[in-house]
Amino acid sequence: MSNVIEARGLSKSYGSFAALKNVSFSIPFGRIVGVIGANGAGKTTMLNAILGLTRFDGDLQVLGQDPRMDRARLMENVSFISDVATLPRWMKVSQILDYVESVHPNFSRAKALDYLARTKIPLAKKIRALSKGMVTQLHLAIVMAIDARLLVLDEPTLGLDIIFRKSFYASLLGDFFDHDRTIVVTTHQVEEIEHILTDVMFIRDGEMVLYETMDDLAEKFFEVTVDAEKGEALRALNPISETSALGRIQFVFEGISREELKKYGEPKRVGLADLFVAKMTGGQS
Amino acid sequence: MTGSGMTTATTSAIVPGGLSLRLRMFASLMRREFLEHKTAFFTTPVVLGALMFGIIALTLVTLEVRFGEIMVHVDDAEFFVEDGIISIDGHEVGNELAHLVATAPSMLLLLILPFIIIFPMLGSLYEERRDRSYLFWKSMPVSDTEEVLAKLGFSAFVGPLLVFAFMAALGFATTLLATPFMWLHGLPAWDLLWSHFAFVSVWVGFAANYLVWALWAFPLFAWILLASAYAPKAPLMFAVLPPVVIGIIELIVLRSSHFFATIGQQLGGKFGMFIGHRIELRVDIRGGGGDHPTLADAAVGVGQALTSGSFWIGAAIGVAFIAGAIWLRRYNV
Repeated sequence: MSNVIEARGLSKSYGSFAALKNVSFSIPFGRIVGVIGANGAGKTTMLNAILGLTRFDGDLQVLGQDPRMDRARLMENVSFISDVATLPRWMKVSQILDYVESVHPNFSRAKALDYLARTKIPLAKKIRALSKGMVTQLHLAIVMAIDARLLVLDEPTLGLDIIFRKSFYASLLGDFFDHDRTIVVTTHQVEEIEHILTDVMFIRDGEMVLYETMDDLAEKFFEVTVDAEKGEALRALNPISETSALGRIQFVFEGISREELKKYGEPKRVGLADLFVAKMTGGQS
Repeated sequence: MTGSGMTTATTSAIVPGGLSLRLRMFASLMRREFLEHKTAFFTTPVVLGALMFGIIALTLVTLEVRFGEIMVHVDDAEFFVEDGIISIDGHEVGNELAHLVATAPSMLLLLILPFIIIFPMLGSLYEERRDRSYLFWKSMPVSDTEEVLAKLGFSAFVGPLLVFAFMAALGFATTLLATPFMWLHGLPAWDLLWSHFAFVSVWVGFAANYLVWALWAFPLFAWILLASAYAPKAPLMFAVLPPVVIGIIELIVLRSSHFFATIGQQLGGKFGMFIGHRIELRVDIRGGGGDHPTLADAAVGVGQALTSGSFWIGAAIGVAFIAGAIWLRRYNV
């Protein structure tokens, strides 16, 4: 079993609305995959299918198991944070640790306490009394103390300030991630996770429009910014997007070599956010 | 959706100690349910019990100080103890006084017990969706079936039994409280109160008969869980409205009320049997008639249930409702 996730023809409809349309992909171990898409593009539906939270059509194997069969067993090796502040507010911090310890065979209380010791979270307080940022830190501490093969994060830092968000991803990378774990993450703050991703997947209207490693992406996509009068020559190379501002035009190219583009200007690596906009809208702005 | 239950079954069968792991998990689910519903199953009984106990203590002290009497007429009565048989004014006194003392502080609690049980149950599968904590619960290796059964098990059995245990403790406390007052008037506290261990026997009887009632009420509990799992909002409305509408439609269309009657018989009749004993208890210790549900009653009740067709029909409907609640817990997110 070399892949954490194997999806073949994954589809899901809500009435007449197709949230996922025949999506196929494989995610190997040891990757950090960013799933990027607009609201309603199907990201959460896809992640929910992976987590056994929703029904779907098609073939999906997560750690060799069909998530529809036995979510409880799957959760011994898969953990997830969907949305912010989903911990039960009526529980005390120590009580939630007791609970997870008693139901989860792969949870290490010592590890969780170790992570919590680095925060200001009081064990005797109710979760209700914690700030939104603290609840997220607590959730992260619990999840990182679970020895899971796959960690799925669906907008885990929404509405938190930048300092929390930075330290959230720094902890994940420093304390949790290793070569036989895989993290799948969605977020709107693409720029913040760009540097930690090994792979990226774009989803639009229930379809996967791109799934590449970050290394391949750097070889495949370039942006070149030139003065407006040089635009015509570059336009002939079929850019996937074109944006003009202050008398200069920025082009994004797919599959044109660096050498070729060098003739016109300095080819640069395209930021994920720019690439996303380019792929989604064609840059007609 | 083929063979969804199969993998679970094989896991617990082949993993050594699978059963004890399951039991440990169930115990921690019970603990979690208790913590979640602490207000209903702990705070309410304790506050109400303390209040009733306080009122009783105050009454005893006041009567003693102002009138020099306890329990009004006891002092005037002719009181005999002969061959271990106690009689007052010629009436033989059995365990009535002991029972009265053991139950007095819990009467109110007993009357509101149905509410203590039903309201947490109504919220149990609804609140977790409202506050989105189901997303956390579902990230744990606990199946939806285990979750729903844990919620049923706690609010129908474990929680109420805790309340009965607390009522017994209250009965013990009141017996303790009454003892010096008995002594003060030269009454044999051991014979009249303690020798019966009423605070144990009465509450064991109540608890056992509650469990028999709970068997009959299983379809009701299951229905409440189903409403809780389904309701997009206001689970109480979703629990109450459908049966009321069905009953009213029957009244209008068929001009009969079999639906209400059946429900009433299934629940009310049995609950009356359970609670009615309590109401019959007279405060006059000379009148006798202190009659409590006993273990023997419960045994008879179980027998009646198991041989009753309507019980099994109700149980089958309950199982269907529970299956529905599990299905909704799984997919209604």
